[in-house]
Amino acid sequence: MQGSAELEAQIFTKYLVKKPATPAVIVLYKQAVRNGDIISKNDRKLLTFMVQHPRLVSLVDAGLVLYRPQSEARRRAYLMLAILEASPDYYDDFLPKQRSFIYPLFIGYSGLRAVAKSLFGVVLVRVVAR
Amino acid sequence: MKIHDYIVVGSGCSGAMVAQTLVEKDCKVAMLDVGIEQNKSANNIPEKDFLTLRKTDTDQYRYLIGEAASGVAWGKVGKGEQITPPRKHIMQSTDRYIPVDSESFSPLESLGYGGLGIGWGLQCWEWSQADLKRAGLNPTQMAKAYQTVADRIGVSGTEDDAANYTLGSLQRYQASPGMDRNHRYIYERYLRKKDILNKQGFHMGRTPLGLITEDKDGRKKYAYRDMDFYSDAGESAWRPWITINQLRRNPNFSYLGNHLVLSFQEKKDYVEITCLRTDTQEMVVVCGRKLILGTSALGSARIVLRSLGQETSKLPILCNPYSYMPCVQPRFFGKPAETRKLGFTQLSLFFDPNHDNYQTSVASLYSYQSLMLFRLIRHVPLDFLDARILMRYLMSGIVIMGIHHPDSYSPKKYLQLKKAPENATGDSLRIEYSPSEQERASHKKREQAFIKAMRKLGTYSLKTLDPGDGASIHYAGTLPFSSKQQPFTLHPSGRLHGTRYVYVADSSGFQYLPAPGLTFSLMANAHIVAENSSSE
Repeated sequence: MQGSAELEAQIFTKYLVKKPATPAVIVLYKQAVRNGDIISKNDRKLLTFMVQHPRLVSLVDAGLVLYRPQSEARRRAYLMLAILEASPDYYDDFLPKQRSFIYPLFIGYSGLRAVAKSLFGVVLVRVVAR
Repeated sequence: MKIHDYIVVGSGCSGAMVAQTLVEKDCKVAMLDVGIEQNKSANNIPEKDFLTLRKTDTDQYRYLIGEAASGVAWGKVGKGEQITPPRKHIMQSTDRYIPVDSESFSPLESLGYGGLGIGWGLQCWEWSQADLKRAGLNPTQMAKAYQTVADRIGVSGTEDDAANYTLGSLQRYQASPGMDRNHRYIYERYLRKKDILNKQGFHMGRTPLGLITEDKDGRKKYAYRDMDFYSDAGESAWRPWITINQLRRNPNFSYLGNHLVLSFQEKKDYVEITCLRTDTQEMVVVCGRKLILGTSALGSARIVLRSLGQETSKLPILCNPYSYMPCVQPRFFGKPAETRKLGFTQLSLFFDPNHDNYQTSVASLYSYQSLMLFRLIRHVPLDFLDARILMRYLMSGIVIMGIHHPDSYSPKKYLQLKKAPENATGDSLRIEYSPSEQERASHKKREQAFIKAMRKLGTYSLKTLDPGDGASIHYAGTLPFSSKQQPFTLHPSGRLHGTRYVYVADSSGFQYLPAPGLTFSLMANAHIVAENSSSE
């Protein structure tokens, strides 16, 4: 059976860059969280919920931005983000690229989507972490 | 008992310059230093440019985020956060050996081999004559010393609109490195609008840097790899350890590492220096005919207070107020990453509202690439997926503006040495630093003026971030120069009043701290103090 850190690594990678996690980034994530940071009951609930409902990770993260931005669940997603950025398998998802003149429309859409996700997400997080 | 001729304390910018001056005069010098060295594995960086490394190096995480992601900060913004894993030894063991107890001030100090110079931003601004006089420095002596230091370390600069504020009297220097597109854009706009901006007191020019653009003394010219926050490959950026490594080949120089200097006591014709060995935790005594402290304004204050002070003794302190602003240049949004880039500041914008080159404020401009996207994303109030999409789009148009203001004495800026038996040295430095409301208001007003000026240059501030007092890493004035024989002051030669053989060669003597970074000036002063110590 896969350990929870490995599952988290896979889920966060899928969420952050829409790609599967390579074995190398899974190992790095496990090293980063190995030393058993103290996790509160609420954070444990949130992490378990994220692992069980990978499609809702985005909503939980967005909700935590408003509800508890420094939470451990969010810190772990952030660690994965840094690990992915420092990996040759994912560098292309982080470096700036030439974009067309209509790309700002997508950016605007992403911004609106982020706000909507935060509003729904904060309700979800409150329910899950209750 | 062995008595060294000269003992220099500290391997930072001051200590390196003092030691070089003395060794060049055929004096025998011993350097006492803790000298924590870089983790070798963290610096095992291939000599390639940033973008190539990102694409090809499977071990890049070691230097970009650290082993086990130890270089990934989270939570409240803390001191030294911009320090990358290969430079983390700058701060190593400081909490243990040089603790500070303060709610209002968070300084960054170093026990590393090369001191704070390990991560110095390389700005080599000359201070104006008026600023030098107010700081208690002799402008004629300083002009010569600036040139001596520039000849040693290699300075690049440009004779431009701001040369009065940047290069001053400097005659010999190399050409500035080429600018990246963000800076070229700002500078071209400045040249078009400079008449209006000059009237408002703004002057922009290339920042003189301790960075060589032509090969010099075995060091390689700058290679535009954009790895400046991680690597010193080719030694094009001057660091104090480059000079000390050269001195260590000279039989007149000896380096004694793992020595934390605690205090000194003058004897009849020599000085006895008590040190804590950081490797064995033993107390040892080293003796020298003359002692020159070159640690830092805070480090020298600790040593002098332990040696001559009482628990009630208070010393003043100066520190440049600092804030920074992420700015955007919309015309570069959605542009690809640039290969030929540099991480150092390329342009300086001076605000001189009285048009007298006195009490100016200065902004340094940096483009953003090699410090990675994740550091920016952390401050974006969006979920990480959308924040990544947004910041990736904006990244090529991001410029960071760091603003420094001058600082002067006030009764609410002081430090004391307090007993703290739980600490390795038995004490800690208590610092109180509270600028007045007028000072804070004046800084805010000037920041607004900078924001307006940058708007004219097509660069828009997103927000002002205040990292807190002490974050500028520019400390001075703890043992001010004085022509009167007063305790805890320095004779204009750099000798500590009340002593015969003890000199202070760092920024402790400065009675005022101009906004342009102090490092070049403290190196010039260190050279002068070394000369004085050898002639007195």
